[in-house]
Amino acid sequence: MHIPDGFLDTKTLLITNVFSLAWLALAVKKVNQHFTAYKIPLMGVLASFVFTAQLLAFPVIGGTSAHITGAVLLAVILGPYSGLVIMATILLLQALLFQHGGIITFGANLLNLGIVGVLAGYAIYSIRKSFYTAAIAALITVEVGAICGALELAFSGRLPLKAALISMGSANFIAGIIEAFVTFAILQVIQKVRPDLLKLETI
Amino acid sequence: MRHSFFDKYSELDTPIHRMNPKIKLAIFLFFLVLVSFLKIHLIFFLIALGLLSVLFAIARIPFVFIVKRIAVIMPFLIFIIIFIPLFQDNTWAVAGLTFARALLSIMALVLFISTTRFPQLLKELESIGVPKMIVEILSFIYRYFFVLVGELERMELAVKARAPGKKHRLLYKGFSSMLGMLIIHSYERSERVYQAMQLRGYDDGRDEE
Repeated sequence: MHIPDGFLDTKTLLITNVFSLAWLALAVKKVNQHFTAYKIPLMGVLASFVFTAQLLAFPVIGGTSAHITGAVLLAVILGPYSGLVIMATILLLQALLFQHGGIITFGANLLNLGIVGVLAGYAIYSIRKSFYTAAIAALITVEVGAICGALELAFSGRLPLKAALISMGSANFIAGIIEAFVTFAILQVIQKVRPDLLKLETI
Repeated sequence: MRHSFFDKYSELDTPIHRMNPKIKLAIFLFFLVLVSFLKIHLIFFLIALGLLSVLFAIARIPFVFIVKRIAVIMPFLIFIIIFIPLFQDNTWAVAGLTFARALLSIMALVLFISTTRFPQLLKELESIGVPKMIVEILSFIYRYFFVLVGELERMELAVKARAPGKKHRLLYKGFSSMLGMLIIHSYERSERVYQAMQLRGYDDGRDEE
């Protein structure tokens, strides 16, 4: 769920942008410090992969469609900070090219999909590093991300809180389940074909 | 494959396309901030709408394309309008303000992106302080996206050839294993590309140039 420009009020915009951009700046710094070898080609290719995968919408009940976010997948393969940088890049590109999400609402969308998706997703995954926890993390973060979006819209006075929570939460539940299954299955495929890809240096 | 997928109409040659991208980006960002943070009066809305329409006409961007792009905000707008009865005070004003802001912002965004070439945009993004890492990843996506889509098309063709008549994309297993293979193929490609770059003298260090 990418919030376009114009849908949030001043205080929500300021809070989410400051919060998210601070995290992004930290992530860029961490990745720059940690990666001694030049990892940009790898990050670039994985970013292209997630960007492509996000364009594949699959139908959900009732004529709506959803796509995977790949947030937890990125966190598992590359680590939380590089995953956040990639997610921010993809969000920026989607906002610019397809107007999915906005420029001024970038911070809000980065919070819902990047910080919740990648950072919180990684935190859940690192409790016990297995594909099952990754799948659970995917389900939880898609749902929590949607709830964050609902809270931002309600906080901006655009939607009544209760209605926003119920509708966003339930609408994204199916997307969350699909994200969990797809994340799990992709990790299994990688484990089977190129297990070394899951043992990369992460940050 | 359509290579204009990224920056459709940005290759046209009109006064707006020729405009200095730095100035264009500055005006664009200023406009977005203005629209998002200030109260919008009806007169301002109408003037801005008229101005944007004139600019679109000068830039020769097709009307259908603009409308299709604007449609992105519709689900959100409908959503807000549905819940108006559940709200108490002056909600139509809120809905109207939201609509005005969203419409003007998205029109400006469409105008900006369809009159600026992607490589040019990347250069400007770096000059306004977007981290170099992000700009580099963006330029990577710009180059590799088409390769990945081509790869995906070949895989779909292979699946069709082996399992005719199956709507494989709907099947979770087929969908996931296809994505899994895509990620592996792209990783292996990145290894090959990187080795080729190194062989030709590409430096590992972060501080070249």
